[in-house]
Amino acid sequence: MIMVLLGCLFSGSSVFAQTRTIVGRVTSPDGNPIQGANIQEKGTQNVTASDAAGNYAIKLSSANSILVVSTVGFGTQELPVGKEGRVNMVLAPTNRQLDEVVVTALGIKKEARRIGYAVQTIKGSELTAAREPDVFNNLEGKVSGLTIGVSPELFSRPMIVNRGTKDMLIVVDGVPVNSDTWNINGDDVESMSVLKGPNAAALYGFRGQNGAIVITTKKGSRDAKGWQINLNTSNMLEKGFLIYPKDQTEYGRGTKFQYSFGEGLDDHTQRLPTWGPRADNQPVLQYNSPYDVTTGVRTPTPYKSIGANNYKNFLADGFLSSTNLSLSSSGTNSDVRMSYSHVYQKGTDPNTKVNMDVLNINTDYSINNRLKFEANINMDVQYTPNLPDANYGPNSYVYMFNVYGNSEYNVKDLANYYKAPMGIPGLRQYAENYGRSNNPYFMAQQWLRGHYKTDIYGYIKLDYNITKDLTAFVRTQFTGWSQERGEKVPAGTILNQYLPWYYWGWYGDYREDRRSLLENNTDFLISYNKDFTQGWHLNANLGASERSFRYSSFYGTTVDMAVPGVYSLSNSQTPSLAFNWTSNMQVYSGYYTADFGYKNYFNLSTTGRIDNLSTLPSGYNTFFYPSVALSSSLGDYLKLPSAITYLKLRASWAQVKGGQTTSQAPSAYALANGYFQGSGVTTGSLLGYGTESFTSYDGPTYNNQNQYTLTTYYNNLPSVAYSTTIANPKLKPFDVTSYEAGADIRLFHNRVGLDATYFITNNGPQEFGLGVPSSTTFGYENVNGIVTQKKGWELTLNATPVKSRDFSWDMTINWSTYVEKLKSIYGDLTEIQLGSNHLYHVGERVDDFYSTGFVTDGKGDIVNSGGGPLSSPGGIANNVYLGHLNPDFTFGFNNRIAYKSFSVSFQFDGRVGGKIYDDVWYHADNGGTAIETDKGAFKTARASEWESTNDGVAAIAPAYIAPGVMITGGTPTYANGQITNLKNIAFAPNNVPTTVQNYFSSSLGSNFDQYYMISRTFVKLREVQLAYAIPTKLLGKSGFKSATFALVGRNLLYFAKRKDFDIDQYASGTNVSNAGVAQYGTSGDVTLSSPSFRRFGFNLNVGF
Amino acid sequence: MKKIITGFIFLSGIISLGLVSCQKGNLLSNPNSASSSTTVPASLLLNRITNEMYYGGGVIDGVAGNQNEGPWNQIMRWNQFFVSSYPYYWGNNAYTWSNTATQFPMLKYVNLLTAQVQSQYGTTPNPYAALAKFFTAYSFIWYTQRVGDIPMSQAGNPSLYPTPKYDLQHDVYKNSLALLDTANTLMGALAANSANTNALVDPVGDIFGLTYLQWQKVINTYRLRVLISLSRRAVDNADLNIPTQFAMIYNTPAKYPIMASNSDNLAYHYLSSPAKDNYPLFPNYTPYIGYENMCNTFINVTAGNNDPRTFIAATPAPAQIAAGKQISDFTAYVGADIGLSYSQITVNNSGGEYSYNNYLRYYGTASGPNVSGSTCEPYILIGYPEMCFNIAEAANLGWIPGVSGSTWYTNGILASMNWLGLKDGATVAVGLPIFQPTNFSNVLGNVTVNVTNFMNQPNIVYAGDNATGLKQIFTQKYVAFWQNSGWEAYYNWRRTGVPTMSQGGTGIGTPNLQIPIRWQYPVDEQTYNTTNWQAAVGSQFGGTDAVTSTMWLIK
Repeated sequence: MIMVLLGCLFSGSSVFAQTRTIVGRVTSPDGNPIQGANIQEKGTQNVTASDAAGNYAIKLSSANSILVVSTVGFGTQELPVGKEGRVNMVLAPTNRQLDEVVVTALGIKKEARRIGYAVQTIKGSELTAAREPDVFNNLEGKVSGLTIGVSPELFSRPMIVNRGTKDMLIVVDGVPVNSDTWNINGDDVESMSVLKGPNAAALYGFRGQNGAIVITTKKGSRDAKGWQINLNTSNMLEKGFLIYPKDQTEYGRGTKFQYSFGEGLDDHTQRLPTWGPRADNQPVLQYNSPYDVTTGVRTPTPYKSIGANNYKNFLADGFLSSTNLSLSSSGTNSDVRMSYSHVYQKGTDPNTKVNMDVLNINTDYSINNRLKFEANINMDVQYTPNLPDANYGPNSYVYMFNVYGNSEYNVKDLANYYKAPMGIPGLRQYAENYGRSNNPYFMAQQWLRGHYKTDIYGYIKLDYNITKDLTAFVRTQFTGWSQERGEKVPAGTILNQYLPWYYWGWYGDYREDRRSLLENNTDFLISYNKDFTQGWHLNANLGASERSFRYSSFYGTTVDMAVPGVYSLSNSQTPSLAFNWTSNMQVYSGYYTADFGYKNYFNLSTTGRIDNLSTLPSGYNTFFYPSVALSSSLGDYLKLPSAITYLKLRASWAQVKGGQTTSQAPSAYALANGYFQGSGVTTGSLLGYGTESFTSYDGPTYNNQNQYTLTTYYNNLPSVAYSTTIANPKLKPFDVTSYEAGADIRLFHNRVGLDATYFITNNGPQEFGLGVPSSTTFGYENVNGIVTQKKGWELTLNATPVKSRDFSWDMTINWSTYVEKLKSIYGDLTEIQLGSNHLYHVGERVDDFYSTGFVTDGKGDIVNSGGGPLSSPGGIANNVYLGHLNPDFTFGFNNRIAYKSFSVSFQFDGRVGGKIYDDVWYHADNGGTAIETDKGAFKTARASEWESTNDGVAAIAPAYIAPGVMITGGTPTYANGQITNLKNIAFAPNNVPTTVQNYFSSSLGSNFDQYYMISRTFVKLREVQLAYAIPTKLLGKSGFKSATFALVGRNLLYFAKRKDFDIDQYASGTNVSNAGVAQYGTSGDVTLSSPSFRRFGFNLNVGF
Repeated sequence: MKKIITGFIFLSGIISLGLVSCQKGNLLSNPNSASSSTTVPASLLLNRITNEMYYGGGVIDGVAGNQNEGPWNQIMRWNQFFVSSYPYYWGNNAYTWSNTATQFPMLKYVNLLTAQVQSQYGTTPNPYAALAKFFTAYSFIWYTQRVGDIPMSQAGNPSLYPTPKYDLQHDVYKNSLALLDTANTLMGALAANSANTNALVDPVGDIFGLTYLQWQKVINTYRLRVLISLSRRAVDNADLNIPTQFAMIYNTPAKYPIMASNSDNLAYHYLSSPAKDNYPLFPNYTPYIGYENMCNTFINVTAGNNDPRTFIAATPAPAQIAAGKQISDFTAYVGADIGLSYSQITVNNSGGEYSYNNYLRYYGTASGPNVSGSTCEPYILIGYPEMCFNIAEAANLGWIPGVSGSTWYTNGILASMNWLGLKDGATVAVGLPIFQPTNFSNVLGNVTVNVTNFMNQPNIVYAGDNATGLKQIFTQKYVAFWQNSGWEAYYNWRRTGVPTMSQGGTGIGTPNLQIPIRWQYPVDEQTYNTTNWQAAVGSQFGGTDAVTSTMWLIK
């Protein structure tokens, strides 16, 4: 196929060969190619860009053309073209950075000096060497204020957090796309601009309230040949744990030091933690002890610790391969770029993988100097027959190995998962602990979760230059996706208590989750751009758009399959269940921008937008919001000390309004879940396990309506649930207001640069479900209330400590911090319960976390009662402050050291401060599996207790004496979870022994969240690249124009106090600032997660 | 040039077609649910209300402080029927409750039902109007007996009363009793029609499956429960006419029919399918049976009285069997003191000192415990055995002139035995869980029941309408509450002090190690109805909303 494509290109180039073409190479003074330089024939629409090797080609319309070359960091240069066909350009880094161009809202390119708000741009080439399966993961540490929570799970969406808010808008070539992050192929990205505040995104409307990532894709480029091919491939192995919870290997499965496999052939009722006997070679009935089929007798075998590395032995090396082939070409009137990528990822869990193909075609055609068509289409297909799941449940390996794992079996013995006589092919597993967990190989090969998704976005656009200063375009874009997920639950699967209809002889289930979304954005824009001779300039745009949105989802499940192995919704013993959920939305918008300035003294930029939104009640559904930004490039008109090369100050104010939409897709799955959990108890849920897939949405919530939801509570009889929130027909749109000020300073001829931003964002009044007294019989009423205020700093420091002809060292440090506090509530309320744990007062941080804590004696010693820590009386007032959940600051530290054709780059990044709940630790302690349960005083006590049982026969003599004191006199009174009458209470050192199992599972249990709150601080060595760019002269006439080879590594080192789960994935502690998606005062969505791996490999980038 | 402009306009026109073809109509309303102005059949609302009644206040909506009222839940530990010896699987024994949930969600659906019935039925007589009165009273009494004064006259009408004022507990009871009287009148008029009398009220909406007459009996039987729960205020609140109302109901069966047998019980029947309607312990908790023991408060009054209901509830303590005792030996059944620390309970349990729950009975079947193949232990919410003891108590107190507590005391015990399938000569299979039960066949043997011998024991024979007789009534009523009737065992203990519940140990978990005697008001009342909440707490408890404060009801 490639040959066919090449053939087309060659023939294409011959067609265009008749016009005059200039080719050449753009380099920096040190000879490095400059990619993405914009090259334009002055006064015409002829424009191109240099490729990765710095090569360009441009068609010229006149004999005496002047080429205007501009690129980020190198300013603009003009070069007259003579008769020669080749013009090489060496661009000197500009001293004043005046002409740096940034892509802003609506895809409008602006000079950096004229921008009054915070934007940070990353070049695509920085994202495509040390690959991540998702290109957004590569942004972590590279932009101040932007945090990417990289998930350790295969094909799991990263958590993107900007200034503490999630769900940024993604814009490709000026149009918002509604898709998941996987959809963007890094090889097609020219640059990513992160617009951090609503200032920058005001023009995208409410979808841009949390900032936007504006992606510019690569366009066709020219070469002497008229075409160019680029190949970029990365292949990386995932090997070696970066983060892995440590387990004890001394004690086996069981409880109270007792364990025995059932005497029968199979024993599927065991659900026991790892508090069993010590493996002392004593005879124990085990799953693989010899079993006599005729007598039905199982003979005990010695109990030994033989599987210390079971989890590691079960896992395999992962592999990530990403290859992109792009062809670009241009003719007199046209540019075209075609790109194809294939990403293959093999998971570290056996039999898991993801394939992804991305096609991107970008083309434009100029009918004449005035009229140009432009079209782009991007199609992404993701397909996998099986994705793993990680959470607290029997569907998860981390649950099986780290929470309830023991070492008294060898996982390899289970590879034949239908091994007779216990196993029956297709019906019953050969399993070590059938009843609590499944045979992991059975899970890997039989319990499959498929994912098939197609994402498409594309647009067609017509540009019209009415006059030299006045242009217009009209554009229509479609963005949409359809996803199908299926879960095949085979016969004999152990679902623990999560699926209550499990019984012996159960033939499995099949579930299907289908969702699709289609959105059309049609807009037009008229632009007037004029540089007046007196130094005044004006740029004005007037536009309008229509957004039409439709979403639908379906969820179906069998209720016990009638025949095993046939995964069809009609294969159900009792009628299968089906749910659907749909939504529609329509948004009309009109907007303007006007930039007005005088020389470099100032630039005043104003925007305004009016939205008509179908999700809001009539009379409140049309609203306006503006923004203003001011910037001034002081160095251009003031005499500054010579050390200061450049100084720009900026300030801005912006507002965004919107309402009753959400970024996360409501789904039929969730509906089904609610339908069954409506019974009020979890046993009703057929879906109480598994992670719901996240899909992008940005559509209606329907949360402001008094409505009956259909449901059932008993015997499948129809029933209803009425809204618990009182709808408000006069609900106004929410309001986000942001103030921002910043400075951009460059010193010592650009050797040092500092970009600093200070922002204040008032989030609110939100559309908020304010509590009402329960005596009204409702829970909430929608009001315009609750304002939180974020204040924060973002700093980016660039420096070039060393720079010589052959050797250079560049570094960038990104640093950011913010604090969000409750500013006002509603009316004269001064406190409000957010979440279930705390009454927050005006002025308090909203990420302050309150929960169950220890009672102390006033001197720091824990008060015990009956052998374990004493609980305070409970209730919201007795919850203890356990720290704040958001980090104090986040940072990224990037370095690039180059010597001739070699370069080394590496990045450290991390987050410092704050607390997080360690769910892995909690569950593993409770299960008796964590190494801590067999260390220090616990180890001594556990051994003593084991010996006291005389091989499990006698009663345990408790041997663990918890540190701290106990009460020997007086009755305590409490406030805020602590004793208030300490002087009336007599304490003595605790002397009540308890068992280790009892201490962890009963006393600590889930009663003291304080114990499992750990520091959120971590630092990662995120990536290392060792690259060699083969010098052009060596390439000679090889046919290659450029070639770079790099050894790359990702996630190489991790520094944190506890290394049992990857803190990285939890990019934010709270999510308060997303209107309507508040998650207050909880430990967040922290759950069990898989270990994470290091990744090594190579990258090859070839241009020819 | 002109052509180009024409072309541009032409193309713009084509694209504008997209604008024209946009979605029209009502995009504001949720297409996935029914709006509040829709006709919703009364059945569906009654269905929600009856489920609300089974699950308990705020449980379906998951509000803070809610507790499931079915069998084997936390409240049954607080009733001191059984204890948890492993909190991770079975939860805490401690009485560390604080802010209460409410039963106002039920009132919300009653209000919705009333509105739907008015528009759908007009003035046509219908059972929903009668049931609405009953459930209104039920929801207020549910809440007031937990906290004291509550909003009633202004509750459930947010547009008119966003911050409802509190009514005195006395008035709440007075008005609720009046509502129950109206409910009886309305339902009585319908039940009198012979076409209705033995017809189901609503097979879709009424999950309890009762007839018109049975519902009328439920209303009056419940009213007897409410009246007897006011025993401490019967004398000093003449305006409530508590004894006279009781006597009037008892003496006027034609107007106020009451339950006649267990078949009139308001009971929730578990189903083998769908799975979420299975008996709560089936089958998920089977592996955790070793983590739950009997509580000695219950065992002391059953095994201590040679009560055959011991065999229904419990298995013998393993250590007692190991020591050679017979399974029919009541001394082989030992309960754990809920006041002990977990540490102690766990150690004692691993030493085999305690009885477990009867897993043969309670874990084995999806649709609930059964004896001889017939389903016979649905979950009673309002039942005949309790009614017998309520009448016995009223008689003992002299509320019903000319009636002795004796017959009704005996009726109550026999009804309870009957409900559990116990009669002379019946056999009960007794099992003993091992730690890894592979099936439910771990049967130690059968015990033959002799109810007559039990009844003839001197301390069981009714001692007469005196203090001793009263205590016997309370004790037997407590046993009859085994795994049913929600909080009633606790409320009766709070009112009467019988049986002696364990207090003072660390396992109780409260600062003074005593069992709380009320709940704090919900946090939302404190935050969003501050003035009225403060006034209520001030006038009742001197300003402190504490779980140790004594409310009017039990003063």
